[in-house]
Parts: sequence; structure tokens; C-alpha cells
Amino acid sequence: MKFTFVIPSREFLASAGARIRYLRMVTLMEEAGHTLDLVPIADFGNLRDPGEVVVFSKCFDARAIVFAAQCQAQNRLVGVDLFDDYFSQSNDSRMTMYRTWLAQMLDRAHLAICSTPRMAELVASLRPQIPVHVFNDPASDLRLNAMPELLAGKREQALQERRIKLGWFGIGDNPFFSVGLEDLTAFGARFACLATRGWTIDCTVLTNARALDADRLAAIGNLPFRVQVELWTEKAETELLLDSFCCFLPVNAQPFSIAKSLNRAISALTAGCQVVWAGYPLYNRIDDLLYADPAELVNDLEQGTLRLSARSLGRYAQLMEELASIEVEVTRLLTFVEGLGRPAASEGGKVRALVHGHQTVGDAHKAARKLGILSVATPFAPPTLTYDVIFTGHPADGGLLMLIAEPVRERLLPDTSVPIRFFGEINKTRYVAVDWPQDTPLAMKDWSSASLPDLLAAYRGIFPAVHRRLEAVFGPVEMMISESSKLPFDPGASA
Amino acid sequence: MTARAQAVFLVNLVQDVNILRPLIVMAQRDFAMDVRVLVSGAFEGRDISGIWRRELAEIAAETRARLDQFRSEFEALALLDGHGVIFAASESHLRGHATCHDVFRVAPASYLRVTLQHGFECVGFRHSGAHKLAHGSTASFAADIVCAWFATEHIDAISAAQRGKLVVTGPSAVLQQFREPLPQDASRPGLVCENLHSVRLNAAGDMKAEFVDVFSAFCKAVDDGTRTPAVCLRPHPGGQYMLRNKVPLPDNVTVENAPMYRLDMRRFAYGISAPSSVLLDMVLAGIPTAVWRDGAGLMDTDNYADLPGVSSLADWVAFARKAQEDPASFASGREAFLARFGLVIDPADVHARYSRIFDMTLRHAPRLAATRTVSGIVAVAPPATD
Repeated sequence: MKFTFVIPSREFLASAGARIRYLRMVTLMEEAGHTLDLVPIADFGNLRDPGEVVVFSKCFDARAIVFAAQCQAQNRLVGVDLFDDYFSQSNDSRMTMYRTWLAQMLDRAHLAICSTPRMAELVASLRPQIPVHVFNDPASDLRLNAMPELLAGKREQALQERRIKLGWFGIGDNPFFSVGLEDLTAFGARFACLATRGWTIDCTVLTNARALDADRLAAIGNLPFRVQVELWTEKAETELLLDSFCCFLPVNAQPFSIAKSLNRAISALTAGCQVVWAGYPLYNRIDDLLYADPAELVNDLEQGTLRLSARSLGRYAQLMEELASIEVEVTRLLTFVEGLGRPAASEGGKVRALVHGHQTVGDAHKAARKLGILSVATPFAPPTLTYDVIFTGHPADGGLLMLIAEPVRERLLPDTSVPIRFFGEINKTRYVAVDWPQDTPLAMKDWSSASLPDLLAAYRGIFPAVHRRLEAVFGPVEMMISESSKLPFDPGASA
Repeated sequence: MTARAQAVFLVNLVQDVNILRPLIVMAQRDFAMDVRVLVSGAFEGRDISGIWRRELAEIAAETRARLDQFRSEFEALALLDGHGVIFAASESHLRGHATCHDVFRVAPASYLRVTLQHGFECVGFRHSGAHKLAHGSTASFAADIVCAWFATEHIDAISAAQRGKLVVTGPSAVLQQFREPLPQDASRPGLVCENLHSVRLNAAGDMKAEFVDVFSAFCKAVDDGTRTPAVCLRPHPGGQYMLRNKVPLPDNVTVENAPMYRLDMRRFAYGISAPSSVLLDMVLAGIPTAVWRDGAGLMDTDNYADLPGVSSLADWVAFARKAQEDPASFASGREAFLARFGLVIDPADVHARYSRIFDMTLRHAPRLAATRTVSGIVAVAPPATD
């Protein structure tokens, strides 16, 4: 089988998410006689044959919807890979764009791949009919042979220096949610009790530069132990984990955080670090190897009964095999996909239209037109693109004026009876206007100068009106919506 | 062995250089400290003409100070790699002072943080009516010590909870006054300073246009046709309103943009300015000094009530004439102005007051240094890649 995973950009491959999840998958797929290509979405339109299975990963704009529709029409298996929960916060208007995107992707998907059971539950709650597979983030190296010596060395050094080398690593912030460094500073005081027992805590934090603003740095400065802050690189992470005795992995209980994978705990354990967690019990599937209480960690350290030790390596190997083995994960994924069979042939016959909302993506417009999909402007859409159909405010009565570009006129239903007249040129393209006999809904005199609250209020109602009119002149229409605005423009296609 | 105690100076606004310079000199000359000057990334953009970069380079060369640039709090923190004292001239919780405020917030406990009053009417110290409208009646600081220019009973704009931070030191400017005898010069021009960018001129009405109009008319009125410069215009170092807005200047006007410590104000026959700290510089230079007041009287000039006011063209011309004919008659107003707020202006006294801060830092240096091994935050930034 040929798989294509569509990714946001080439740079994405350098991120921890892509590195852990995809890069090793490529080799193993090939060994199993399949092929897997990681293709930036900007290049997807030029692919001659994306293969039988096309999975979209983190491509949160209308290009993914257009390509998913195209792949569906070509009877390919379409999937989405979901590993961040930007979707379940249904009362959070900042996430509208993501919910709009996911709903449309799931409507065209034959399968979903999720990084955690929690994400799988989310998909099941939105579209119970879609088969979902949990693909655990694999470990890069289990270090089974090196582990006894690594663990013994770390323990000996800690006892000798009476010092806990504590590590915290990862993305320290998020544009929407309180995460990362804020979890560290919220829960960090748990280690204060060790000082009274004569232990020194030496903490190193590896994170992204954007997260290191004054608020977070000041909060880190108030932790009851010394903290050295450095910028994250893959190399620095490996060195930190091999050097640290323990990693601290606090997690808060918001939906975004509890949908996270085990990958940070796995990375820490496989480098011979003890792990102390705090907050939400995200890591309960590997609970036997972890600590919730730093005092207990130190007790075990002093008594030689650490949870991750030469004695527990059997359990460690078993858990890693179950939850973090790339070989196992790839085999399970292949079994899952093979079990799905070929997708049913798509209905066909419908005219497909990409309808642009308040903010759109120029490349989605181009991709749509290249695939013969109508590119349709709502009155909210930016005027810079050359659309096939434009809906705009009627200058006379504020009704919805429909303009059709001359070149797509030939696609109108032969028996359409609506009166059509020449309108004029827009962006050097000739348009005809459709005059509807009774056309007064959604009246807004001047869309270009309407205030934001007026636009937000009018937004949702436009799409059924546009859909009705498109179907009246083109026949049955499959509508896709392009909305990339960070404002809560909600077309009602919510997941 | 513990490293030498550092004296760190944060430079963010161009006018910070003038305030900090005397203390940079003191730190090196009188206390032999390891002098560091941390310049914000935004400073370069503000220094349109490049004057201030050259000044900083010269100050650093004279004091053997290390000059570093920081573009984020993280980079600043990485540069704060020792112990000692940090001075900032523009630090408060207000947005315009966020750069230094945020560095103070993240600075390790091994540094004593000191904020300097940087103007006569200054946020967090004493607010004019316009300051109150723009920023509220009080401001607060992230510093441990806040250095004021005048008696604390006249400091009414510091948040009540922070009054304990106040120390009266006097303005650092008196440590860099001109002392050498002034050559006798028959024709001494007048000095007019503009700070039209200031929040004081935004309170109400079209004060900027009013000032520009009366200034132009005044220059024309004092034009004797000899093309000898009659008026010297000094734009605010940070604002530069007249130059940025390309206001046409009459032929008998010269523009002076040199730092205050290079401008001997004693060579001017008189000085006129809208309410601004430059009025204090004029008073300290001992020249007849007048405050420009808008015609409608909307601007709050109460803090300068002891100095003569000028509004109309006739006022300007009459003041200039009297200043040239009878300069001694303005001395009593200047003295009243200085006395009213208990301004500390004796250079020896001011030097002694700042010395106490350096002395204290050095006395406690071992304890400050020790905090680094116990707790707090240390940053390791990658080397700059310019």
C-alpha cells in the first residue's frame, strides 16, 4: 500500500511531534513492503499519485478540505491524524476555526488516527461512524541494554552529592492555553520538602524562546530551588535527559492538556530518568514506574528501591513494548488500515464549491480552481481573488447579489430559468449577474463598511443562502467552507 | 574566589543615557566596579541620528564598561550572570517603561535593583494633570530602591505600598555640570526647547499648533536681519517632534541636538520651554527661564508656578528683552522654584547620596553573590548570531 501523510511544511519535520511520530515510521513501512511519503501540503497538488491512503496532519486550513474532497472523489482512503485537542472546547470562541475545519475534515474522512485514547474518544463523540486508531508516540530508543548501568550511575551520583538533578523540557507555552512552564511553576513547590531533608535540587529547564517572557521567567525565579533555563534543541534534550536523575512532568486538567500523549514520560524513562508527575494523572497507564510524591522518590533513592531500576526492567520493557514501540505501532496501524477495505465509490455528480468566509487562504482558492472546484466568495471574503462566483451586497436594496464569471457560465444547469444579465468586469474577469425574483434576505446595505458585530451576526445565515442559490443554478452542490479567521466566524459547520 | 561586583546600567530610551552617565562614571572611577551597560534592542531604532550609540560607545570606552545588547528578558537574564547593582532610568509598571520593568522583574536576587527619577515631573514621582489623565495618579516600580530628586513629601505619585523604597539622592545631572569660566560673548542666542510629543500637550486643544505658531512668530520678531542665529531650538531627545514632522524653521534658528551634558546652557541669554525637566536644567544653569503656557490655560503648569510664564507673542518678546536687559531680576524666581520642592542640587551632597548605594552594594556583595548558589534563576542564552 502507498501512504501519503500531508504535513503543514517541510520545517514541521524538525518538530518533536513529527520527529517522534513519523520519521521512523517511514523506514518500517518500507520494510513491511509499503511506502510512506511525508508531503508538505503546498506540494500535494503537484503529486501524480498520492497512493491509496492519504492522511492529513496539522494542516488546519481549507487546502486540506479541498484535497480531502478530491481524494475522496478518487476513492482513496482519507484520514486525519489528530494529536492536539483544539476541538473539544465547544464553549471557547477562539477555537471556532479549528472546530469548523475538523467538522469538514471528518465529513470527508474514512479513518482517524489519534495519539491518545482521549483524542479517539473526541472523534467518536463527534462522528461515531468513523473508525479510529490510537497510534502511540513511539520511543526513539528503549536503551534496554544500557539501562542498568545508566540507572546505577545516576543513583550513585545523587547519593554522593545529595543532590537531585531535576529536568523539565518541552514547549513552554501555547497561544491559547496555560500549559508548560505555567504547570511547572504551579506545581514546582512540591520539591521544597526535600530541602528540609538536606537534599539540593538543581533544576534545568529546556524550552522555546517564545515561552520565556517576563511573567514566566519571574515565576520560575520564585521556585524554591535553583533553576537554569536554556533554549531547547534536540541535542540539548538528549544530553539533559541522560544527565538528569529525575524529570518533573506536571500536567493541568484542562481538555488540551489531558489529551496529550505519554511521549514526555517515555522520553524521560528511556533515558534512565525517574519521573515525578503532578496534577492530572495523564500517565496512569505507566503508573508503576512513576512517582506522585517527591518525598517518596527520595525515600526509594535512599533505600535502593527506586521504581525505575534494574529490578523493574522487565515491567519497563513490557510497558514500552505495549505503549512506545514503533514496530508494534506500525504493525497495528497497518492491521487497522488493511481492515478497513477499499472505500465505497463516491456518489459523484455533485458540483463541488469552496466558499470563502471572512479570511481565506489564497492557495486553497488556487487548489480548488485547479481541480475544477468552484471558488465562491461570500460578501465577507477578501476582494483580491478572482472568484468563479461572487456573492455581494446588492447596491440597491441590500439583498444578496450573485455574480458568475463568464468562463463558468457553461456549467450552469441547461434548464435554469433565472434571469441573467451582463454585470461588468472585476479583476479583469467578466461577470454576469443573476437577478432573483424575490431576493430580500440578509439585507445589509453595505457589506464593505459593516461593523464587526454586524458581520459576526450575519455570518452564519449566509451559507445556507449561498448554498441554495448555487444549487438553483448549478444543480446539487457539495459545499466546502474556507474560514481561517481567528475571530469567531462560525458557519455552523461545527464539529 | 567570588567575581567582582557588577554595576549594571539598563539603557532603553535615548534620554536614559543622560541620566545614567554620571553613575556609570562613578561606578568605575570611585568604586572600581565591573561596569556593564545593557542596551535594549529597541534603543537602536529610537536613536535615529546615531548620536546616542556614539555617546554610549564613548562612555563605555572611558569607563572600560562592557556594552551588551539584549532583545528579550531571557537574553537580559543571561547577561545578568553575577551580582551587584542594576540601575534603570526608565522603569515603572507603565507600558512605556515595560522593557526595564520586565528586566527588573526577572533579575536574579543577587542584584540590588535601583530605579532613578528621570524627570522633574516624572511618572511614579510627581504627576502633572496630564500625567494623571494618561497614567492615573500613581505608578509602581519593580526596583528595590527608588531614587528621588526632591524631598519625599513632594513625591505624591508613588504607590503608597512602595513609599518604603524611596531614597532622596538628587538629580544625577548635577554631577555633570559645566564649571569652567564662560567666554564673554556679546551675542548670546535664546534657547527654546520643545517636547511636543509629550503627554502634557495632548490633554486638550491644539497645543502643538499653538506652540509652533508662537515659536515661528517669535523667531520672526527677533530677526534683526543680520542672519546671526537668534534662537537655538532643542527638540526633546526622544520626541524630536519638530524634526520628525519637518516643521519649517526660520533662518535665524539653529538646532541643537547634543546630549545635555555637552550643552553648556550658560551660553544662552534665556530659556523657554513648555513644562519639561529641561526647565530645571535651565534653572541650574542660572539663565532666565520661562515656562510656555497655552493661551487657554488648559495645560497643568502648577509645578512650575515660581517661574515666569509666556503665552502670547508679546509675552515671549517682552521676556526675551527683559532677560537680556536685566537677567539678575529672574534669580529670585529660580531660587523659589528650587526651594519649593527641596531639590537636592549640591553636587557633593548628590555624589555622597549615590555613593551610599554603591557602598551598600559592595558591603553586601558576598551575600548577594551567595544567593546564586541557593535558589533563583540562571539563564544560558545561545551566543548572538549577527
